[in-house]
Amino acid sequence: MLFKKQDKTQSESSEGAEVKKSAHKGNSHYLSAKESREIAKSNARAMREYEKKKRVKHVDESVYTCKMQDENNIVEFDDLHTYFFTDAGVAKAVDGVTFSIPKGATVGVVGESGCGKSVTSLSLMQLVQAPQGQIVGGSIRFNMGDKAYDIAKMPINEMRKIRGKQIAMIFQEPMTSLNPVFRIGYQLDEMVLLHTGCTKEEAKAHSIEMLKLVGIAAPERVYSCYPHELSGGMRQRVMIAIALSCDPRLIIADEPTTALDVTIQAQILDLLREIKQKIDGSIMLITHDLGVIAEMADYVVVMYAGRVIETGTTEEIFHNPLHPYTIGLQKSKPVVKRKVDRLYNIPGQVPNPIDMPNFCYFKDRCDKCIDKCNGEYPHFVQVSPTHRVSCYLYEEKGAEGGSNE
Amino acid sequence: MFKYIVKRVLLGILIIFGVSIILYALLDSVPGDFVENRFMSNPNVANSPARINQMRALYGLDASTLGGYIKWMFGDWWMPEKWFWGIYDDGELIEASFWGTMKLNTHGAIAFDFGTSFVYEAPVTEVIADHMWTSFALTLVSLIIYYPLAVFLGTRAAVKQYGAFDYTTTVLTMIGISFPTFFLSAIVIKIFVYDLGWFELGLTSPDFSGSGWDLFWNQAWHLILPMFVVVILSIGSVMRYTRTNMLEVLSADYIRTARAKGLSERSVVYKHAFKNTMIPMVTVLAGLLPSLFGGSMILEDCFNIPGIGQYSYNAMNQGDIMFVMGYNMFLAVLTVIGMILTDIMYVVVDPRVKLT
Repeated sequence: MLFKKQDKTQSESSEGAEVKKSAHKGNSHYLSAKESREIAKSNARAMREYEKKKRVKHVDESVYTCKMQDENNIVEFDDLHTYFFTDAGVAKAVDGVTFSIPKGATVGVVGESGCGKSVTSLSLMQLVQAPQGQIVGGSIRFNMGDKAYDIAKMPINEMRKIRGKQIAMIFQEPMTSLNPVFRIGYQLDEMVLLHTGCTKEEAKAHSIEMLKLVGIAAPERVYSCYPHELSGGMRQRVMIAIALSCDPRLIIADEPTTALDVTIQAQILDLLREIKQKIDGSIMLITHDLGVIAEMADYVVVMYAGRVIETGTTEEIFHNPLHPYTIGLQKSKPVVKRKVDRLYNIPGQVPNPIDMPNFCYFKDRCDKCIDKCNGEYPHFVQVSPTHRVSCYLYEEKGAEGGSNE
Repeated sequence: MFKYIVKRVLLGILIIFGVSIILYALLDSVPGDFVENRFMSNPNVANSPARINQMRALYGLDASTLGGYIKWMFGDWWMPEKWFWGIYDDGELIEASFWGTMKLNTHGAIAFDFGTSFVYEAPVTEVIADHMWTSFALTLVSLIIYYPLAVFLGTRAAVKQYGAFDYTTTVLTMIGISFPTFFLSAIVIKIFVYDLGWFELGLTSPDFSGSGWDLFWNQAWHLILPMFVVVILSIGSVMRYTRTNMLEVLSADYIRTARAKGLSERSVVYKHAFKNTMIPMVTVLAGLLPSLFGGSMILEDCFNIPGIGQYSYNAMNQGDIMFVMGYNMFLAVLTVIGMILTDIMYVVVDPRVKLT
């Protein structure tokens, strides 16, 4: 018995050593104590620097005033870099994202989980989890109407005036996005009182009107409810009501229907579409549901591992997808009336965005990989005036790439 | 709600019964009872076993454990005289009955008659009532000082996580938590009482004879040092608790929503996050009830303050089973009430909780 036991522990320990060894060899993210100390040190330095920059009290307006490239855009992301300074190294969650949101349009951002969709939108609100997450480069130009601000350079004090009033956000989790200890009415009023400076009675009237607008049947009753007394769909409606209450020019909807069941999803999407027409604003819709995009969006941005790999109008992306990743995403979506034995899935996972080598990030999962893909990261190829793709397959062919399907 | 409270109270009574049985059994099995402690060193008594037996009978200490407990709990006024007997041989007790050899005509703890303290020679309830308030004042004032301070420091530390303020308060409060009471008391006494001579030990100055406000100020002055020690010792845990809670709340989704609304960092932290942080904090407060009235044995003994803590400490040392039982039952009742209050506090501060 005793011998047996010993044997077992021996084999266990040898196993453990093996695992360790393989981790050391195979996994490039294995860190020695020295390396991890260095990372921690450089992280601390970088974080301190960026936090200091953000906290500066009085920044001259000229520092963050800029000019829109196209006056018809409400937001222009230009080479945006948002990094997370983690203990394992710098995670480049958003690495050179460039796209724009035209006025009055709905732009859908798609990609798998961990592609940097949410971080892009949070950067636009300056809500990236600080101090680890920081906007380290690029610019986000926001059109204020008569002038334009570069949100990446804005100090927090000024940013506050834009949050909620100019750009409102609807979050993914309606169950946890409302403060559980305040009544719905208070949470709605707060926003109105903060940005418009009206009286409490006016705020209440406005809030109830907003609740009515988002299709809540008994707004007066809901007004005095606590969040836990409402269902998920109701809460998401309340979230939308909060987002709309100051007539924002841009609404960011970060997977607004992911946590809801299908019937409520449809209702919420209808509501969003309806509301967009009413307030004449733009919507940045983040989702990994291509069906939602097809239904809602005018333009589509496909993101992969922190980069934009393909952009175009919804028509172009759905009828003529070019990037193998976009094609894969579409294939992995069930289609009514088409019979398949197994639903297609893209093999592998989104790579960890730490210390990424300079080649196409999708290379290892791509079934159309060519020799050229081992070269540096592909540049954008303009396929049509609105359609761009970043893939070597289309580099020379240019516009010919359209006949791919 | 009402039904729930009734249920909890009934359960509490059951708990208190259980506690009393365990306590009595433990105290009864402690070697060296009150009579031994007090009279064995007296040569006149020590030489006469008969006298010792007489004393034991007089204090009701010669009953068996179970018999003694029943007498303590339910009194012996209802017991017939014939239950009490002893077989003596030449004055020495050979065998005492299950109930002991003497009927004392007590009414028992069930009738709130906790008997007479052997050491203080007064009814236990009276001794507790007389000395409770000194301890209460000491703990309450310290609590009023350290609790808000700890909550404030914890919140600040959480907001500036990993900053200089966070590290400084963490280290300092950790030092505070790590000190044993007697050690910190000894240091404080050495510095402020003996070296600097700013304070005195005890509750009142030895030659003081005033009353009214004079007495109040004199006593308040004497309580400053112990309060200081309590604050230093207690602030750490509450501060750490606040900090942990606050950090958890600050990473919640609804805080991001609050920021997305455009609220200032101040109102995000001190309105939206703070109210959520306070939910566990307030309930902890209700759980502090026993320590509020129970006093602190070591602290009061160090500073020679005649509070309930010091009294029970002395009683414990001398085997005063009546007083120790009374004091511990007092604490047990407070603990049970504190637990019920904690539940009620949850309903008050958290709209999601409903008691059924």
